[in-house]
Amino acid sequence: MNVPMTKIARQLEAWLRATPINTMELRGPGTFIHLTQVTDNNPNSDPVAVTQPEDKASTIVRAGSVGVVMHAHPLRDDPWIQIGQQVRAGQTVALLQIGAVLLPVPAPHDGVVRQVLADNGHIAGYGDGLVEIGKESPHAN
Amino acid sequence: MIEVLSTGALNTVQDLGRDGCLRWGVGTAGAMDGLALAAGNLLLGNDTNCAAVEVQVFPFKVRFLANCDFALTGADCDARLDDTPLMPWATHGACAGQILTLNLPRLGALRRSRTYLCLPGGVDVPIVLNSRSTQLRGAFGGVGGRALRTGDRLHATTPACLEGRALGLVPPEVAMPLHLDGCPAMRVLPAAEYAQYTAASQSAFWSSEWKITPQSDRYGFRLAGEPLQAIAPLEMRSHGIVPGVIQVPPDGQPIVQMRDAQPTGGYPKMGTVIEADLWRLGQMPIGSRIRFMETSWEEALEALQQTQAWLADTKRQIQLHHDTRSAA
Repeated sequence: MNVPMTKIARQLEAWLRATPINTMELRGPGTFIHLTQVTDNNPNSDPVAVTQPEDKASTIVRAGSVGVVMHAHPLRDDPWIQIGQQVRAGQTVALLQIGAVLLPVPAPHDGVVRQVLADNGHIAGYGDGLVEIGKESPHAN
Repeated sequence: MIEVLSTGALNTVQDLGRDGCLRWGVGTAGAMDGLALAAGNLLLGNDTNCAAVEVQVFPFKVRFLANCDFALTGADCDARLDDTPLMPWATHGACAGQILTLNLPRLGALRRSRTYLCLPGGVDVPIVLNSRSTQLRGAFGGVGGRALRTGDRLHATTPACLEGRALGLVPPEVAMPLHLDGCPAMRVLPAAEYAQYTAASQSAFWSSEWKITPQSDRYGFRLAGEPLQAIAPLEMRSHGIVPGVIQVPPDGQPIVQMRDAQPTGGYPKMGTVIEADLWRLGQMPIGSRIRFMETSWEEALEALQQTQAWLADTKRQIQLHHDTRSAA
């Protein structure tokens, strides 16, 4: 390897700081890097969908994993959701493909789809916004 | 545990089949789409050969009598758990009392005909002659050697209800498509009597489309197309045959033997669908059209290795996902 390991580790550390990822391990022939981020943040309890309230009226559903965004299942033509559509808590609103594996991204609460934030085929990074879901009523969630 | 609330006439419990029993006159049975069964099992952490429910007559409805994970693979049949739509080719979790409904498979280019309902550890039915597959002809295996009936109760061998979100797979027909001029294709090895057909029939066999007629089931698929003509009438004694063998009866319309085929037959054989492509054929709906693609022994073995490699890689990626989740 031409680049010194410490330099690679520092670059990875910088990238890691920008994410909610706590731990990263990289293994290769003769290489082992283990990085742990010390943070006050609660560890992300749901790595599939990171949801953060943007305002009281809506929620941005975020990618909890790196993956290719799929608006429809590969066997289907119709997309999971459309703008203005009512969704229920737990209903699939997007799909992330990681190699052979497909991870459904669920709606965090009942509501209405306001915006689709990631294009079909887009490679989503950890924490990228995927869908905005408006809350149905002030009492929802 | 699940209870069958509603089922068509020919939904059965199947594993990968009763291999090695043809010498006793016992047919192979087993899932028509063995790859979907194996993948469904991998999604639940099962051995690929665990038994599952093969649903080919819809709608099919079961009630969960206890909390239990399950996986659905094969045909996309607009499955619902109570009112919630379920993703095809994925694991799901059911609570006691919930009702799973498998509706008619979706139409379109990727329409398939059989869905597999897999349970943790497999469906617990007795092993008969080294397999849990239902052998309808012999009336053994599966649930009492018969198709499922309303009121049947099926147990998961190792009931599990893990706190995991649904996990899906890219279906193999998407990951490993095989088409010829836009038509689903299966690779075929020429069989013993191939050379005794006219050059025109040999050519038509490879170059024309074959329609799957309504006289097609788990025993065999009767095809319709340009009649295949032998150079001279062929008379043969009965001999051993295996699933995939393409026989030509006197009317020239071929029959592909499928999983419930009897172990012997007397019609001349034009070819054999290779083992690696039987899952493709096993999913083709009645009324659809297929093409045959000539292949060699070496290519057939290579195709089988490719299928095994897909399963191995899928297993590795599912494991990797579980490791990541449990580490998080």
